[in-house]
Amino acid sequence: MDLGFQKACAELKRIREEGVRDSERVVDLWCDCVSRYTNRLGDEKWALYEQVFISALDCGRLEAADACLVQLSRQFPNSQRIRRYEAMRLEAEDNLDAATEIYKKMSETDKLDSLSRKRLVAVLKARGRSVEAIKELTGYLKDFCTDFEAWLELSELYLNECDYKKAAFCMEELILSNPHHHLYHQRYAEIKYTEGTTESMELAKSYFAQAVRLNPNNMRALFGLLLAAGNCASSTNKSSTSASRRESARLAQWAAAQVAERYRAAGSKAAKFTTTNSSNSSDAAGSDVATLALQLSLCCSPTAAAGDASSPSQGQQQPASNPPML
Amino acid sequence: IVYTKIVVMSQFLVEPLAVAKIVLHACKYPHTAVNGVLLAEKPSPDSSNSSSKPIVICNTVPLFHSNLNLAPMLEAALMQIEATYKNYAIVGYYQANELLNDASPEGVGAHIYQKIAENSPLPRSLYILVDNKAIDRKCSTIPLIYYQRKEAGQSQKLERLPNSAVAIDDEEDCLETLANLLVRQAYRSLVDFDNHLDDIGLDWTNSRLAEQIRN
Repeated sequence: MDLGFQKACAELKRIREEGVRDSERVVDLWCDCVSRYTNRLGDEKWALYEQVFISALDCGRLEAADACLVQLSRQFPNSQRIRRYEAMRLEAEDNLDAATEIYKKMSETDKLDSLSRKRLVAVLKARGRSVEAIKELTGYLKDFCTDFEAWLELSELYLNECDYKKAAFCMEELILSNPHHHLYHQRYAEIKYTEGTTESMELAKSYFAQAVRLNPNNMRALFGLLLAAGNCASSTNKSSTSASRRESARLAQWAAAQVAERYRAAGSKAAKFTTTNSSNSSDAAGSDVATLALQLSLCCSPTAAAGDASSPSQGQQQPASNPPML
Repeated sequence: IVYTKIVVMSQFLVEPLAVAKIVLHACKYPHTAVNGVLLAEKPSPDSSNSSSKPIVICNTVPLFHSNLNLAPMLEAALMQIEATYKNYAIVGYYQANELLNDASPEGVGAHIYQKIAENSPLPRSLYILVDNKAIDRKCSTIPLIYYQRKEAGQSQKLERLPNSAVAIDDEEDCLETLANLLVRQAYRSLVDFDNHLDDIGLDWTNSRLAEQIRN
């Protein structure tokens, strides 16, 4: 690619600051536009070397990684950080035993070294030993209980084991520390929805609603609210009253209208910037979804619930609840 | 479609567009698991439901690259797919596992596949697992492994299908197209349902990419 040096550096900086994982692009930008002109870089050189090193390991471009590591080791000899990078280099070569050795030594020497302990979890995950990875990570979180990234990772590890209760617990910890973060509410609601019991569906509905309140443009929360409220409205469980079912139906209809509105807006925006062919298709797709959303919400009226023998996701602790195929 | 002897004797025929989208999806997110569904034309009501003809898998819809085992977005996606592709049915599932050495189709993916198989209007459903180790830029082989659920009994186990059971339409041409796509990094423009939920202006049917692949 033929981006200028300045533009390439700016893009690398943007990727660094946003924390996006676009390793291939980073390495391509580096190799094509930046690596020959490192003398023009100021102090951001070292941050850039680090970024390219990690991205190169991610893509398996070990020569580029080695070139960066050499520069970093020269500039920062005897650095713990560089030692950790050397261990990561071993990981990239699938030499997991040697890497584990280094991480263990580092975390024993320095009790506050959180990054090495997290790399230990990563190595266990790479070996496919998820139960051990979970154990290691829970141990880590006892010492570093405010590490949000770690709680999220633990939640995902539990989800892979289909342990929804513990995954939900991790999200609860995150919500307690960050009650205004819409993504945590949404993820919690998704886990509760997947659990599939009546109580968890009610909880899912509430948390999706909260996520929507915190960010009205969160499409996952809107869809989730539509589906969860719909399930609650057609629930045949004895504990749900007709008043609560009507309330749920109203919520579902509101969510459907919101979804329809967003799709219409997206469709008309697409129409301005694309050729007539594709704008027709996205318009059509948009109005398809709008109609579908409204149809769904109409199905959720309490009267429809009366004759509905097969309610989806009733009391089953299965990984994917029965998708209501229309 | 060229009905060669190989094609006629197989249970499934996968078109190049489907193969390409599966491999591109896996290449777009090499660090996570990805999944999606397989589409085939709905059988017309008057045609004899002969189980001897191969089922043609003509397209796929890439679904997610994170949290594959959460239900609500999966349900939303399946509903949208059914509403959009009125002449097509969901007849299978594909997945690429997160770890390089993980060649197991079991787990959440198998569960989703079972539900799809139960609801499919066609007599057979296919589970395609991406062979992570076999993906390479030279594209010398189709990097896919095939599974199917055992019909007999209540067993949820999947059985591996021999490669002869699944034919690829015009395999050599397909491999060449795939190699070109990988070199051009065409996977960067692939849109899966997760991308769509992040920005609903993005087209999860990937109609532009499909045009590129067909040409």
